[in-house]
Amino acid sequence: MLGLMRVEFHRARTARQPLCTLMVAIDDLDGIFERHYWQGKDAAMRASYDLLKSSCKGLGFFGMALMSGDRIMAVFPNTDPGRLSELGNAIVEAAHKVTLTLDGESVPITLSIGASHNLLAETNSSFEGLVEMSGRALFLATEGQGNRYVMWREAEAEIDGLRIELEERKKSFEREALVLEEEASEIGGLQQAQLVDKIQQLFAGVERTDAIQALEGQILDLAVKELFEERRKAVAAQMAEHRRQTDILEKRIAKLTSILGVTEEELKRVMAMKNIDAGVASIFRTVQGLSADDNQVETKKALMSEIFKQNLSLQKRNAPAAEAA
Amino acid sequence: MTKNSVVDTKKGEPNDSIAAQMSTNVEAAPNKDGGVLYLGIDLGTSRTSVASSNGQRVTISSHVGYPKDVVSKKLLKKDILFGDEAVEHRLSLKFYRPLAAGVMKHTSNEKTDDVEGNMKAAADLIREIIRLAKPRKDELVYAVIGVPAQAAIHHKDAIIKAARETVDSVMLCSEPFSVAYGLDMLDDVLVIDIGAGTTDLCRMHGTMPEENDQVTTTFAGDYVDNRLTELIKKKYPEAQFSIHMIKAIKERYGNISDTMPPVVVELPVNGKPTSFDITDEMRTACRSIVPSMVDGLSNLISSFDPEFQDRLKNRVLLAGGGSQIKGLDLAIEDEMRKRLGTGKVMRIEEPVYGGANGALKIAHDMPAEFWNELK
Repeated sequence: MLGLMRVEFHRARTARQPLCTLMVAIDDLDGIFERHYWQGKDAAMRASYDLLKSSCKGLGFFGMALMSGDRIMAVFPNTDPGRLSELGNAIVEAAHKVTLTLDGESVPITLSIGASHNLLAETNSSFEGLVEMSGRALFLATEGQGNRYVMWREAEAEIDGLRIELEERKKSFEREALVLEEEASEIGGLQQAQLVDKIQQLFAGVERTDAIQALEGQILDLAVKELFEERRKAVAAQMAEHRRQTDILEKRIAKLTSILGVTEEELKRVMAMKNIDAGVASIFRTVQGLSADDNQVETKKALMSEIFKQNLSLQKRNAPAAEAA
Repeated sequence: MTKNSVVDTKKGEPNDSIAAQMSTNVEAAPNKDGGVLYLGIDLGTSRTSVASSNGQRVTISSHVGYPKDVVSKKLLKKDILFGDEAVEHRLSLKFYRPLAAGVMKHTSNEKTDDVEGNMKAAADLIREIIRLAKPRKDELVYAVIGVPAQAAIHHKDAIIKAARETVDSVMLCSEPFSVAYGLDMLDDVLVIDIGAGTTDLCRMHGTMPEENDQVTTTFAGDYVDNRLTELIKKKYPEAQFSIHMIKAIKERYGNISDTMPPVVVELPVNGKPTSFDITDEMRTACRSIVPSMVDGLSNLISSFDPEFQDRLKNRVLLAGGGSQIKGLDLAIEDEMRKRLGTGKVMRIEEPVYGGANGALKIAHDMPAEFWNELK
């Protein structure tokens, strides 16, 4: 199955199609295991797997899944990340309705889901990278108290979206500016012609003298200049508004990028501080001590006692010094 | 310091209120009802190993480094580096080998910077090796740490102090004893534990070894490294190398037999890699620890009950990282035959984990009341 998933990943990369992965974990699975042992864990895993299957069927998703250890991994070829969110949230919701009956006890389950898609540079290069990112998203989901769906790098994707939007807006503003100028010059030409006609009509009924003709010429020049100035101001105001919108978008991107950087740093710090690895359980539940069946039980008892005495005197010797410190 | 929990919350019970969670975080040490994790730790000059009852077994080289300045800290992205990573970046680090000469590296109680630094490095190393054993927060952690047979009392104090920060209860025992205990060979056995800093010889006779049952010499791995360095420098003065390179060469080619394959290594000469045949130097350097070892064996055997001396001679266990030198067991046997008439040396199966395995077995066999008493 893993091989098939890998093939689908490479196929999606070659065909430049979106592909998403889901990593599903049951919240407090360790608790279920401790209370109901393997049977409980197995039943919970199977119920989650069935839930994933039924949700996919219900929402028309086509993909492949495998259950490994305490996680379920699924790959959905040709699936848009936006659409996958629909599935992820639906599974989280559906899990609320699932109640397992284990050892006569009703056990509700909640799920944490991490997802990633191949549309980011960091997830597009290898299948392992894609899976790792969905694992990190799952970690974010579980660390956020579980019972949630998290898509890896949604914030970055949002910033990318904003960048694209900004570029499109810049282009559209440039186009609009050209159109405005053209319109302005066309309208200006028309308005200019109308204004000239009206002024000339005013002077039509007046006796033409040199002085009047000169005055008509001056009035026409002045009117055209004023008209041109008004038109220039209107276009400049519109362009200023466009620039303001561009500035706002750029500032928003800068701020979001900076917040993302800080968040990533903080996340790294928290991940380093927290012991992410929950550890590996000991095979012993209680202190063992020497077995009575041991061939050298008496010798060993004496040796244990001697080691203990030596350590006791050593540590008692330290105790007053530590208290004094 | 992790002790038993003071919080009485039932596991798995939903507790969603923020106030409840906050009060838990403030007051709680983790609820340790998840089991008992035993750790056996072999704290060595060259390598520190841990074997634990959750199946984890890890060994790291006993080196600790702290970034020298802000630039190196930014570059390395870590506050402390351990093991081979520390060795690799040692030029950018304040570099420590805290357990040189088999014990914590300071000779007096004066609080010089180096002493303080080494003590801190040792404590950090112990914390790291315990962390690598992946203990769970809900488990009681009981550790037995093997220390050199003749470690000074203040070294033992420092080890206990460092370990108690991360485990619930800790005990120390002598390294060669833990090796023998791990193999269930408690009666009439001689253990040779060849470390980097010291070689410990220990006579087991069914009771806890006393001071006169143990001999410690400094003819160990570091001695071989230094001897090999001298010999190579003498024969090939133009060759350039560091003690770390020599150690790596010894670990790869260490051999003592007369029919050993040629050891040809590449060392730089004025920056150009050049091949050198160091077969004889390797043999001589590795062989140099044998006489002192047999001296120690001879002392321990001759002072033993005459009736059991032969049995002791034929039950010599060879352990520790240094025991991986090929042909060493046969060379000791030869020397024993010459000086003591007879001798049989057995190499233990896992030289690197022999001490840790034994310490783990001691931890397992220790009764609960003893652990509780030392909490």
